[in-house]
Amino acid sequence: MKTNLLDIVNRVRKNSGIKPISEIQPEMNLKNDLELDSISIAELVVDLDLAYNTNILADGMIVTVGDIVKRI
Amino acid sequence: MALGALSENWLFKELGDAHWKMICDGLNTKSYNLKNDTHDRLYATFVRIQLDSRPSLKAFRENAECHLDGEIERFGNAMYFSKVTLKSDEAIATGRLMTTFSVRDLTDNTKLAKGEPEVSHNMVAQVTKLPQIGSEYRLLKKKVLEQLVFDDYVFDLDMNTKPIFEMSYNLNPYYDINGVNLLYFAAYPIINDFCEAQYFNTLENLPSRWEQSYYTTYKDVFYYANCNPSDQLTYRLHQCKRLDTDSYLVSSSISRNSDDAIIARVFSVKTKK
Repeated sequence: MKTNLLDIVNRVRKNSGIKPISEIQPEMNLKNDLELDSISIAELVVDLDLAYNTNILADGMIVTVGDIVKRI
Repeated sequence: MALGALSENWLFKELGDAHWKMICDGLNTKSYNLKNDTHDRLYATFVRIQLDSRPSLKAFRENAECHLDGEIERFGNAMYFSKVTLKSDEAIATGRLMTTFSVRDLTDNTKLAKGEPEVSHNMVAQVTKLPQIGSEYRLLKKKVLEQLVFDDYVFDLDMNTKPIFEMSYNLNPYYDINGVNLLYFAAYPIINDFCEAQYFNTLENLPSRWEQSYYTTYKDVFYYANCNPSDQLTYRLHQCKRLDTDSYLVSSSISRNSDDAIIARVFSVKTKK
């Protein structure tokens, strides 16, 4: 499951013109560490909702990788 | 009408109003009731408006019957994309609009926070892929895109070279500022055109004033930020290319003087017809 999340993060990074990363950690901040802007975070949310058939934002905004892991 | 053509200012307002109405209809609410989960009022924030007018705004005639049609879709719960078309017998103008939502900081317009409406049911169709108008915006803002292409128009995006022309613009609060003291989205293209005309009117061989000779065929506004009513703006002309005997392609930027942050990039094609 963690690999899939990394794939999704890297796909969003690629669409945003950013190089892929080899690993992600729960404490990583989506904006500061993964360099995702607001449009990229919106894309990440849509991709996660589709991939995990869930509503990632149902319990509020996501700030870190850990916030995502808890909800998928 | 304005300057013998369809008023671009009016058209931007009309396109924006249609877009906003479609959002409110889809969310089954009034705009003043749009709030986030902490009950802060949400305001529409235009991210990009691309206007394609064929043959140009000059082709819309006074008293012509016009029809406005629109469709809207969303990407997630916060990003909305619409296509609004104004048609007369002789002309067609198509606007593609992208918006998000913002929560206002009551003391500082440079600190708008992103927001998302709290809704139980959203009737606006959802797309699963970020529309091109949004992906281009993201890549341009990140300076990953080298050129912006629309049909035959190719805009260079390099801003490292010295601008061709630069001027300061004093905000007209009675005209440029909206009801909640933000720089009005429809003011950006007019500020751009006003400054652009100052440059072109100094050129030789122009038979009459620029604003009464050349009309918008294409206008693409990338909104980056807002400013306070007390701020001053700087317009910079980055690219000016003659496409043919009747058309110019122009790319420019608008910055706020308080911190020199770019608040918009504007790409235009103006034609004599």
